[in-house]
Amino acid sequence: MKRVITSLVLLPLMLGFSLFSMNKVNYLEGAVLRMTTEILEASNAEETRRLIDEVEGLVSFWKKEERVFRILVRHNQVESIGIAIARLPALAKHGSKSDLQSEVLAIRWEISDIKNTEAFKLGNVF
Amino acid sequence: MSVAFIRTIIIYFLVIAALRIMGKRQLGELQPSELVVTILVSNLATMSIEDSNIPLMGTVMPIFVLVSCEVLLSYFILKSPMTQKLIFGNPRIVVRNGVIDQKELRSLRWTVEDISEQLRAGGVFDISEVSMAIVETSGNLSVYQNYRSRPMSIEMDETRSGEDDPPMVMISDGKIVEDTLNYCGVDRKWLDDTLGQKQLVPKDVFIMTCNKKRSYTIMEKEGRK
Repeated sequence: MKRVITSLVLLPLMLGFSLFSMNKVNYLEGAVLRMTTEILEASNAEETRRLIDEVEGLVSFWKKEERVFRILVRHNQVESIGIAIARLPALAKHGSKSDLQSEVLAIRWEISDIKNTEAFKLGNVF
Repeated sequence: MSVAFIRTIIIYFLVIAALRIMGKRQLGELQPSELVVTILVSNLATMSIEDSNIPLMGTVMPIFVLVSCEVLLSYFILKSPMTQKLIFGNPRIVVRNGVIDQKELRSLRWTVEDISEQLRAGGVFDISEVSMAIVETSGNLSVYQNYRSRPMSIEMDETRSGEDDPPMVMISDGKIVEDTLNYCGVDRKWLDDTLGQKQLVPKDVFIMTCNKKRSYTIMEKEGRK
């Protein structure tokens, strides 16, 4: 009976963790997409000061959230986004608009891809 | 490398914990579902050790889910004979009174060499010595020899001579096995009368075995009031 109770406790715990994971990925994806949208707008409007502030905001947000994100998602995917984000401050200050925007678009694609992979969809199950 | 080292230690203790949760059955003969779970757990553990890109929770969670499902399934199997038949199948009688049931053998995809090998492993070299041979759900062959072929024991005496047919389970955890009533050539009335002599009803019985000579053994459930 002890083992049955242990299993009845473990299953909801694991389910709870997977729901937490989905929620966290959704939250991170939403936040990164919002911030990168601001960056793209600032880049298009050529507002350099605002662009640098938005980029720094994204960098500090990522530094804060990266540790939890690593527990939930494959590490190489997290590193790939981290590397792209690390390039943004230099590109914002000194690089070309097109290089900056392509890095930002790559970040958006990667984070959306992670979210789509984690989503509970029939396509992902099969 | 240090990451691999720590992960290996964590996974090692995790797998031990998983086997402990599943229980001692894992360390003995494996049923099909138990074999599947054991293989999956070991593969999952290996993946996490080999590839440090996979988050540790990506291994921990599937292992615990598998283990929990296995424990809950075995609990349902305990409570429901139908579930047990569905998951594990039934033991199959392949030899009766020295004669091989070829149809059963074919359905099991066993050859004559397979059954001969299993009999020899059980110390039986002459199939005519076999009263009954049963292929269990784990794939092992259980052999019940003719009375004359069995090793002598102190219990063998005139009153028990000629018992070539093995006893079968008639009541299992309070549930009557109808096939055994037919096997023993008795009916429900005989069973009720037999139990009534001991002031018992079927649901009071943990296990009752009986053979064709109506020689029976009864074990009551513990804590019966």
